[in-house]
Amino acid sequence: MKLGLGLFISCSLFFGFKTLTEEPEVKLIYPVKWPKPVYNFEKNPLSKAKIELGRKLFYDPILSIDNTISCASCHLSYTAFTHTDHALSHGIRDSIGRRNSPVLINLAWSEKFMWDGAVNHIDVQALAPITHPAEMGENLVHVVQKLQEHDSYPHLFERAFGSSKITGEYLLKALAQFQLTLVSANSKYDKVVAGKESFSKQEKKGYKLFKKNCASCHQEPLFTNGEFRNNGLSIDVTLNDMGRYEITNRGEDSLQFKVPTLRNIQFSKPYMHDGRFQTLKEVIEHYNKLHYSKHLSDDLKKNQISFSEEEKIEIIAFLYTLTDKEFLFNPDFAFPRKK
Amino acid sequence: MILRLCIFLLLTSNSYSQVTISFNTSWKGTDNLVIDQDEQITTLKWYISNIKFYHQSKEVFYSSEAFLIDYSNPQSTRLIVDYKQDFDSVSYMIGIDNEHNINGVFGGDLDPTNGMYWAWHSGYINIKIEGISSSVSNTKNDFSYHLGGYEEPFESSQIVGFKTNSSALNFTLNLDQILTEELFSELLHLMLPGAKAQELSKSFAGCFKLNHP
Repeated sequence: MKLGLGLFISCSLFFGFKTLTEEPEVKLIYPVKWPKPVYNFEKNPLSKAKIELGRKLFYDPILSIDNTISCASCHLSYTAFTHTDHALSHGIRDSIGRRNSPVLINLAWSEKFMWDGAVNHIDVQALAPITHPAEMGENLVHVVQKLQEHDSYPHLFERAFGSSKITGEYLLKALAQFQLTLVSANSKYDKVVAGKESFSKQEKKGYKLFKKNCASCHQEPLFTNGEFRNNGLSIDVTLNDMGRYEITNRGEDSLQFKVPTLRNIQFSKPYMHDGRFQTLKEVIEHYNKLHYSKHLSDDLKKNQISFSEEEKIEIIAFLYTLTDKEFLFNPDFAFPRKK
Repeated sequence: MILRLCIFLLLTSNSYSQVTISFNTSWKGTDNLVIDQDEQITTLKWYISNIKFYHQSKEVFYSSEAFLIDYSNPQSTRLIVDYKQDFDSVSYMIGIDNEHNINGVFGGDLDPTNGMYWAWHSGYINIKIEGISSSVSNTKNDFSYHLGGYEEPFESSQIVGFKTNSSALNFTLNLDQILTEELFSELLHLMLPGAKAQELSKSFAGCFKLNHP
């Protein structure tokens, strides 16, 4: 029940409402030259309590129907918040999904989420895996009920949101807050850009090749332009995944998938929306052997890629400079251990 | 300021007038959604938002707030608007506006635990109608229409307007106008945005009739 301001004040005098404890606001830290995040922090300002709550939830299989699958089951911190042992992600009861889990990096700069852009805001993204029968197999009402009956969650929600009555909104906002803190901006590449380190000869050549052949889609500094592209992957007829088309129903979106970030690509195999490539070498081979098709994105049509063996190694050397060990091993991102 | 039927307001209000807005239903000649075991609407939920009052073509009241009208919760089918000036017409949106569809998650009546939010294609479900009927020819005799979508060109939220100056606005939703034999023979289940959802949303909006006292 929504109350107008006047009524709220008179009610609070009657019943002595608790006021939310003032917590210092947490600000996202990122390089000065980066674009501003697109996430509207005013609607969900970061706080330590919310982030920690979100992190606890992220690692908690309570979100799944049989308490076996947590977010971290597919999004492991050490491998850039994806998992490396499966091409197609799996959920409860060994169900296999259709796609490879994407990395969770620099989400505050994303406008669309999921390989097909089905989700338009990070706050509502968690609804998808939580309710999917092959992922966590739950429903939101039941999850909220489980959290409400839990020993510690009501208190943690009260600390974070000022109310021990848990709602879908609070659960989703807490999860979003933790994920928003997953910023990767300290790779060797970043240090080179900041003038603190230098590329090796090989890396430098790789960077030049990258800028010429890859950067229109994998734009610096986020290493994605956040858009959807058809990069010439042939359709897997066992999956029949039409990508963005499944959301927009527009013919031109057929077989288009979201351009992923290349940050930490060294550790986030296997590659592509269905994890079909186990190595970066295979990825580069794919681009070297592209067939012309009218649906192939313009960026690739305009510039025919043809790397020599040496150039392939140079590109990979450059891609390795996008590895950010501080991000991968940040204890604030890993499983919350009791202090 | 809009409130649900609220005991505090009843206690504190004396000679202040207010506007009440209520929605009853009409289906197969009755105001009950349950006719019998084999003929019933088991779920009827829809959002109302962006309520506006006008006086001589000027907008004199506006609230962007959204309320879930849920017939399993009769209290929710009646709203109280704390407004006592003159007006000569009223408009509201059936559904959720773009602003709320693109800005993530909200609470209260908009909380996704209300079962009115799509997990796999972000956006609110504006209208949910589910039920069973002998007019339906599948094995379970059931139908379910989840109508939503905010992206062009298939925006499904509808704005309806009525000329009135009454402070007791009572609307009847004539569900016979949407749950037709024609619809049942064509489509029994819909859970995606698109042309059909838009068409049915328009049809639903057409069911609203203002009862003049």
